[in-house]
Amino acid sequence: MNITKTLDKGEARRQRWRARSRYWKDSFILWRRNRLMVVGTGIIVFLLLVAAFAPLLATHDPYEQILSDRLQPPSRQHYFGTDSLGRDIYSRVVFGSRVTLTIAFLVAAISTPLGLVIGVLAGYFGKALDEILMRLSDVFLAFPKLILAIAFAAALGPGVENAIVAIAIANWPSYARLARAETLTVRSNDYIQVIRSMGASNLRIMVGHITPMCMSSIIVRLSLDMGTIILTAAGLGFLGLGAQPPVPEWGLMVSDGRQFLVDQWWVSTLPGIAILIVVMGFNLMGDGIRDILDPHQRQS
Amino acid sequence: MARYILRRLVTLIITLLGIMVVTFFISLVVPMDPLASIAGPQAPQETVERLRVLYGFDQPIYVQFGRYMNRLLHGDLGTSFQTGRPVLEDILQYFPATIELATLALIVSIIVGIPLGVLSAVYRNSPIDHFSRVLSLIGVSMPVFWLGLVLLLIFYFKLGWFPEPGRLDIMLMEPQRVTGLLIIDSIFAFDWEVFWDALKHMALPATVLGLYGLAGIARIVRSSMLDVLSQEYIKTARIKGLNEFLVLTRHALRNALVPAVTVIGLTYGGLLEGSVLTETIFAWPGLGRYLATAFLTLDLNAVVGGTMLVALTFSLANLTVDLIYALLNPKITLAEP
Amino acid sequence: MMKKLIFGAAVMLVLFGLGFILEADAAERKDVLVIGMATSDIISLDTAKAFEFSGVGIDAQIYDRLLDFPAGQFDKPELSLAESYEVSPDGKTWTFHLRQGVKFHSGNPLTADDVVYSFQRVVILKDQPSFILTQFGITPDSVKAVDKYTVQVTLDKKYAGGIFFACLAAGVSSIVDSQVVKQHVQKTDKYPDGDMGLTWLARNSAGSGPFILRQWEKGDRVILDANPNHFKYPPKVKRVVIKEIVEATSRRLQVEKGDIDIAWEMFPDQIKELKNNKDLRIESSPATMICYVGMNVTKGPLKDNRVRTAIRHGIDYNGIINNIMGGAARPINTFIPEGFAGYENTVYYREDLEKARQLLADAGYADGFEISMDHGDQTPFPEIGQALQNSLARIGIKVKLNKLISAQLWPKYRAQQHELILARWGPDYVDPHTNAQPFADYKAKQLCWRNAYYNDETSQLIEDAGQEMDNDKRIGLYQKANKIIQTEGPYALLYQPMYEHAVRSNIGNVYAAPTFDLWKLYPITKE
Repeated sequence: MNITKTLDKGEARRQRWRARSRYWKDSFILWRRNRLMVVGTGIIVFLLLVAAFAPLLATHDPYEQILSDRLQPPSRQHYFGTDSLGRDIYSRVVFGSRVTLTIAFLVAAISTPLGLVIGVLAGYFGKALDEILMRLSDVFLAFPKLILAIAFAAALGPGVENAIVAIAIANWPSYARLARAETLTVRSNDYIQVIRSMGASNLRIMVGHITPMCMSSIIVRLSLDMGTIILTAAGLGFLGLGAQPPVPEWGLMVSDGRQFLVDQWWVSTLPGIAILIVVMGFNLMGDGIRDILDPHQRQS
Repeated sequence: MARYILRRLVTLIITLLGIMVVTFFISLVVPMDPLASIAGPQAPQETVERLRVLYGFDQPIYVQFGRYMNRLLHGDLGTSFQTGRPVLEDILQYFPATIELATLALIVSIIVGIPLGVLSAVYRNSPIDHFSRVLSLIGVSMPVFWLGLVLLLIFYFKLGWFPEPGRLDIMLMEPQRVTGLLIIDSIFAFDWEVFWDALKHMALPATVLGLYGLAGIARIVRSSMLDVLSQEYIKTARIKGLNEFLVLTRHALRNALVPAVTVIGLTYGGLLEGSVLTETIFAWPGLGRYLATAFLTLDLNAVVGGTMLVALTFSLANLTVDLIYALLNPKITLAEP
Repeated sequence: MMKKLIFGAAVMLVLFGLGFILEADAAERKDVLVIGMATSDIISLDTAKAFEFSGVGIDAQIYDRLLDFPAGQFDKPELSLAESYEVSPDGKTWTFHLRQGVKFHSGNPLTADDVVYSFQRVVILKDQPSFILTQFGITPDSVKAVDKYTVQVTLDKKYAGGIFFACLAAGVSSIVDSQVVKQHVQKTDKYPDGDMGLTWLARNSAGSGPFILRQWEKGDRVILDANPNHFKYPPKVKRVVIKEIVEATSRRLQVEKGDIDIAWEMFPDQIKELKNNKDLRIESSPATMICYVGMNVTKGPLKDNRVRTAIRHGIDYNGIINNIMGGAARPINTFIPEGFAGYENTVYYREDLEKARQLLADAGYADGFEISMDHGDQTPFPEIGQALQNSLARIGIKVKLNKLISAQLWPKYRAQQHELILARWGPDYVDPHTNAQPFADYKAKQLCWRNAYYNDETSQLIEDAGQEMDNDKRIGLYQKANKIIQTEGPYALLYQPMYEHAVRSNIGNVYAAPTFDLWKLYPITKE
């Protein structure tokens, strides 16, 4: 252990800032080197833009039914053709990006903090609390995630909100486990002892010091999971448990088009391709983030 | 070690009990009538009331709960409302089909995944690497239900290379049941027609499911090959003038496969997930489809039975993998759950 | 090691390729008729219990009844196991003389005891379809074997002959082989004194019909073997396999490839494309089902008949019929479907937005209102639901759709907790009474009651009809009730669908029927 020099606050702050910016600079270099990661990020940015500018990009009202125009093939009026109720598929796919993003981010927003809090608490306080929380998460982890999500969605009833809750419930245990593992590692660090002896409260330690240390592995995990979350949501939509008509959710659209697959392939296929592209984007980005944050890589 | 296993088993038992209790209470909360699967929309009101009494649904909750737990703890999983048969019978009937499919899918994943991973590692950061990474990722990024439909359309309908969805041709009878796995049973019965037919029927769904597990295996093989290839003894082997192919396979791959084993185990568990949607598309009479239908129709006895089996399989698979990993890598402490 | 792997893979590939050469014997398929259907609704094949469309349909091939509908005849049954009959002067006692020399699949001869046992089981077990017999006041003691070939049935009142016969020709009235069934009686926890064969008959058969049940794999297939010794209708094919194919797309793919011979119940969009296929033809028949919107008259705005009539005028019937149903449906304004005596095509309401808006304004809802509609998850209900949502939005009614699975939909309906519901009704037996009673008589505790429409006038009309011996008068009573129901009742009838099936051109004598249980498979030929 080094003898800590007494730095004045300003100097300390400058040093921290320099270290951080070097971190970011290295990250950026690694990011650029990894071409697939760039592609992945590009896809996600594209998705965000589409979702943001959906009303401008869409050509029709995604809910408008023109029954006499149903099942038209792709054409100049309808880029992706129409579905079984005469709705323009292109516009529905465009607006569907909003649904997809909403689901993905809400699931992340619920399950990550939940998992983080539980994991940190378990790791920090240990003993009985740890046992209980970890047993609880083990019970959840005893199931494949999709099945757990289906179970909760079936119990809660169909609908986007319920689907989000169901998927979030299926996801939090992995984050809890990660957070707990990191907490255990960090908890025994000397500087934590130092801070505690200086009078910092448990809360301060957990929030200010331990949680940030968990973030990188959680972010990696989350970015790798995003693709799966979207696929699960699409799977629920396909089974009829997720978004309900007339919401333009991509999985639901694939399911609706199932009976027309042979002759009106566009109804199922095009939303399916949208799912594919977006999930690929997240997976590539996740892979890349993992490579960047992985200390082995950084050394090279 | 023994303590670790014991702890995991205890968790498993708690999980199974938890499933039973939770499902029962869900059945109370969810606004559905278990009778509705027995008495459809056309049945007159009196019949419905009478059946309600006959099945004991008019009893107070604690009586129903008591009966329910009593029944379950005696191993009676109840009768499925969809099939009208005991759930246990259903499960024994459908589980082997899923195992068969998952195993073949795993073989597909391995056969394609390992070479992909190796290629990726050897030609790192080149177009080949990118190509194979994208290829393996596609399997994981595609909605399984969509892929199944598309493959059916192309390979069954347009090209006719593979037969219709289902497990066996309609004209063929299943051979004498020994294991429930058609491939094995038909060999025992020397029934080659059934053997080939079953294999042909499995081809498409196994491919779809296999693509699902591909990415994980390819990725792990890639990263562990990268690790291994940078080791000293590889350089030594090369300097010694060994054939590159031999270097890669006999030396590098063999060692790289060690961590891959654990991923393979996990993939098997993950295939259970994928089977839910795949079996639905391919009309495969397996546990996945049974479970999906049970959830969608809120057939609670089937839900309990099927979910318990899935939890059991999944947990055992994970436990096995963890143990193998710990055995291979004694540095890992088993203190972590 | 790598070399071994590659070698192994090569061997597998070669063997795999060989497998393609070994095809299933084509000659065998010639005598087997393969039908693709969605039969997952079957819960039991016991005729005293079976009440689902598919279960009843399969039973119709395996069992005979006193009266029955021969292939292609859908309005009146002919005498089948009964050779002749008489009725007592007070109209309460019916005597049937059985055909002699009829044998069950087991070889046992048909006697009056079998008929008595069959009816007694239905009444004692009191399962879903039992009301079809018990509604006439039949009890275990009121069925008697007078001698070896004569059966007497005593009812509690006199009833219209048409109704009684239609019920005797229904699946629940099938005659089972009592000796075989008695051998398989079990004691179960629900029936501690013996279940009269309920458990065994769920998956086995003891009948005398044109086909014998060989195997029923739930969710997979049903195999029926021909009974060449049938007294009247030995089948033309040796075996029928009914293959479970839930996906309509899959049925379509398989019938086009010839993997199945008949694809039952195709949807309009697929029919359109199949019309171009030279190897297939489309057979259709009007299904005697009615698709309707039920309105719970206790809920808010629905209390007012003006609102209900406004809804009836606000729906885009043609849009639904032409576009969603692809023209394979007809509008209908009577609860008696086409194909039954008493059907009339009087129009009581058509799409008329002006009138609808006026009526709403009169009722005080000029600005519209919000309401929920429940519907099932099977095609085409979700689509129709959305189309209805769209339709009613035009007159200011905002519909919130609830897609429910059967296990939630029907209980909610029975508990009268719905507001609007999209549903379908099919006949239980072949007589207009089977629809009139549920739609118009609330005391029967069926559809009318579920929608809380307690109208004593229509109820009385239906009760009177049930006893009316003069058929023409009876029909008149139904039509009178219909007028009231259509103008003041709780329904908006949407359409009567057509069943359309895809049949390969080498299959003949299909005689597509309005329901599966009227569809007799014995005359079908396969070249």
